[in-house]
Amino acid sequence: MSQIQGEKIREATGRPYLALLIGLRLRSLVMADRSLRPQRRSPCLQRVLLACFVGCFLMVPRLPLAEELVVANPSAPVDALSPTALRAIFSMRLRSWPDGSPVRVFVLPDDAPGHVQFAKQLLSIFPHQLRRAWDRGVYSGTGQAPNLVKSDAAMRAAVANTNGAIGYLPREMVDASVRVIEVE
Amino acid sequence: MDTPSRQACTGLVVLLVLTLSAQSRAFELPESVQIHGFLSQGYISTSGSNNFFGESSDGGSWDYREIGINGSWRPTPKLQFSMQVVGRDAGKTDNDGVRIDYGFADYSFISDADRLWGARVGRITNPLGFYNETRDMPFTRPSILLPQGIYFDINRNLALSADGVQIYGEERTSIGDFYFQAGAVQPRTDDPAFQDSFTGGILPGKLDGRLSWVGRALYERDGGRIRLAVSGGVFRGKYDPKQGQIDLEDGRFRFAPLVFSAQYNAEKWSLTSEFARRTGEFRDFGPFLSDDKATGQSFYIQGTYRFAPKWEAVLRYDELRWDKDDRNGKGWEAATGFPAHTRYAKDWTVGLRWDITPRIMLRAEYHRVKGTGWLAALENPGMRPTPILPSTLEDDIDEDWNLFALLASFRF
Repeated sequence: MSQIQGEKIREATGRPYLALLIGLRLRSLVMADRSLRPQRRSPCLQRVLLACFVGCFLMVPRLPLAEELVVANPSAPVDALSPTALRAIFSMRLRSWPDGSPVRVFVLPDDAPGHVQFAKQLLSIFPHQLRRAWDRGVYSGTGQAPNLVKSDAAMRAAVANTNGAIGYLPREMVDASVRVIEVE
Repeated sequence: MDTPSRQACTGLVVLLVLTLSAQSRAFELPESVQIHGFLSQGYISTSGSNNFFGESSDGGSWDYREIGINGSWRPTPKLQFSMQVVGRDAGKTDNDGVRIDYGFADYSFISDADRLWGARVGRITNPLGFYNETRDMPFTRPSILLPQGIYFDINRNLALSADGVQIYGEERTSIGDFYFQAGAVQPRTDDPAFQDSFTGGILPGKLDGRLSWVGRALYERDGGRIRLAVSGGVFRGKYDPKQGQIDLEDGRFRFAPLVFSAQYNAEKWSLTSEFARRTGEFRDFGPFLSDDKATGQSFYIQGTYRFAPKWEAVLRYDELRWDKDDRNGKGWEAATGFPAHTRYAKDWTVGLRWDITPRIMLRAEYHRVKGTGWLAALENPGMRPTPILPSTLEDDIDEDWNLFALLASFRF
């Protein structure tokens, strides 16, 4: 969990800096436009720039990231999973649902933004660690690989149409064909 | 062709047929069957006249290939059958063709969100250190050549897997995950270079595996951000003498490695270190071969840096000592007349990995080595550790040398 906090702190400290850069850039653009450049900077413009700057500062960190949700086939026998269980499932170590039926794991490619986001936010691990865990299982015979899908749309279709399937989707892609699994 | 090779070939054919069938959709494989594999070609060039994986000092060697195909079938979530067939060629140290690297049944007695316990029966990979279990799969290695101080390739089959039973367990707790494995096995002694390192290439007979033990305890925090492991084993074997010029008795060997491993994984970089201590013992071979016992030590420190999405760089220092009480090999040289530098190796490695696609990888690396401790006598006659050969070959091998390697790998 500490890792997630670390990521959040990094984001929180990184973004105001970005806002500052945007603010300065805006200002230089305004100043460069001769028709707008005042002999003496007008208090009005100054206030607008300040407002822009402060606005960026306050707004940017609050812009929501494309939030990934865990989704399962509607036949899945649970509504919620613990973070431990979720990580065990996506590391391909927990092979069955609580009722004993097989879990079928679907993932996007390692470098897909949705996969990176999902791994870091919901599993608290990096995609390269997941990849290594899968390879260790597959090439020592002790595990199997997850099923690969190419896009969010393919993910939704696969999870909706496969018994025991679990995957993840951005919030706006979720519809009634899949069941959202709470992580608690 | 001997029986194991024939079995392995049959296995390979079965897996190939399954793959082709699955792809042609002549019949549908069950969803619970998976087929994966890899294909790899290396090039190795060494300085002086030191050879590694072929005649690498003479214009470079292409004699380093790995082809593997594996299948797994999980009829129920509790039961899995797995097999991997590998063809490997690594100079004279490995030209035995196709063999079964693992093939076992795995049954889990207990499986829930917090734990997993089960047993495996068959040929199972040995859980030694971080890299042993998948050592042939180029994508899982940190570099083209694994740190040779610990994962030396001259006894690869012996190290990789063994036949027997294994109990395994996993406990997932709030402070991290704990993994246990323990096995009772009969080791494989079919490595040409391993047989050779004992028989010196001229003694008759061969070594056979006897009841042995291997196990590992591994702790992972935050899904592998921090990984700590202790692994070890006691591998035992017996010499099967055949009639020859020298009368040897049916002596025994015992090889006991103990490995401590630690790794830290960040998003862009990883730091790994392993330390190994191993005792090797030969006894009861009769009056012509005195009992011998030595404790060796090895360690490496390795940093990997993922500096761009498809790129990774590695830097490593790796040190091997065959006898901790004779670190510089001087005692060995005095006793046998053979070069002291065959008893140690200090290796600085820099390497680069480029994952062109998730399935295709290119690698290059450069080693600067002092000592010849992990070269095979089979490929370097100058380092033969037996006083029976005339020692006219001493200058055939350099203490300070370097190695350059390239590797192209494909996986599916």
